[in-house]
Amino acid sequence: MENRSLVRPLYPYLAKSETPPPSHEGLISLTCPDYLYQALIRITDFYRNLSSLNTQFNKLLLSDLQSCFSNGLMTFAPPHVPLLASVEAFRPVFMIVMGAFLLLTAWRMTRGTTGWTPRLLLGGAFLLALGYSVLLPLYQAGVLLPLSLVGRLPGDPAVALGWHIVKVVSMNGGWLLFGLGLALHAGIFETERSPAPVETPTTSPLNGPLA
Amino acid sequence: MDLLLDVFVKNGFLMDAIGVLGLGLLGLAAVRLSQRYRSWGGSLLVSGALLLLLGRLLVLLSPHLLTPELRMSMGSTLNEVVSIAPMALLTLGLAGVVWGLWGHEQWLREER
Repeated sequence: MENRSLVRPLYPYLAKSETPPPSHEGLISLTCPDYLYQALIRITDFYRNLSSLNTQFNKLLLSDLQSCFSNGLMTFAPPHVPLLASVEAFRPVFMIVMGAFLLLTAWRMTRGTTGWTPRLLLGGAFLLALGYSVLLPLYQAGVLLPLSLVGRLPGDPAVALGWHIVKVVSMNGGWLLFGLGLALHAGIFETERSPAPVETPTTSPLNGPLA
Repeated sequence: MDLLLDVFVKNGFLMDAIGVLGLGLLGLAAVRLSQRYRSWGGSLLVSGALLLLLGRLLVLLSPHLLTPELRMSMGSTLNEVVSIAPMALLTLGLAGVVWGLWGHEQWLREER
């Protein structure tokens, strides 16, 4: 009589709110216990804090995380291997693909040519590919420590400085070399030939001996 | 080491200027390509270089222009727009540059 309602409750135990669900009913409750769920939420918060530069990093959270990992709680999900092809990691994957494709296209464009134009184009494209498809994803994944977080996260400041220099040189120098190469390719530094006739002076030995 | 710190960390003006200069050269070359040689990849390259230049300038200038008082007076929506805009511009610009370079390469292959 009391089960006559049209909409059957999806989770009857929620409707009754007295008896807890048996553990074998939902896969989620089986594979993801509560403490694990909390740890996952903390990890996502950790990476969110890493990626946004303006938020203050919480040291309490970090020590929590470290104690959590040292307990051997997260054995199947290593914390420093981020998912590569997830929705959150769309931008690093995009940058990896774009860097590789830039290098490939520049190589195809300059194939079979010689001179300074292909050298500059390929050098710039190589530096940009290094920066875009190796360094920036590593920074976004939290493997490399950005300079703005040096005091707040564990890590060697000298290593952070070295990688920062590599990143700055490869990105800025890469754009400069690539721009110079494309400018040479487009002929920006060339000038048009003057329509005025060029004559050798009469006193020049090219005109032959004078009398 | 001191000079290294000075150039790369404390005042990175030299490296930033080099990058902006390169982006400007890229845009100039792409304008030349699309104007003189009628390369359809060149115009894409122009838009990509322009977006990249805008995003880079926003990144470089925002700590000087967006003071905390200004941020407080802007409101949350505008704040989010301003904070997301450089990343979006850089992403779109990179896509434009790569697509334009590919288009120019196809154009080179077909027209010449």
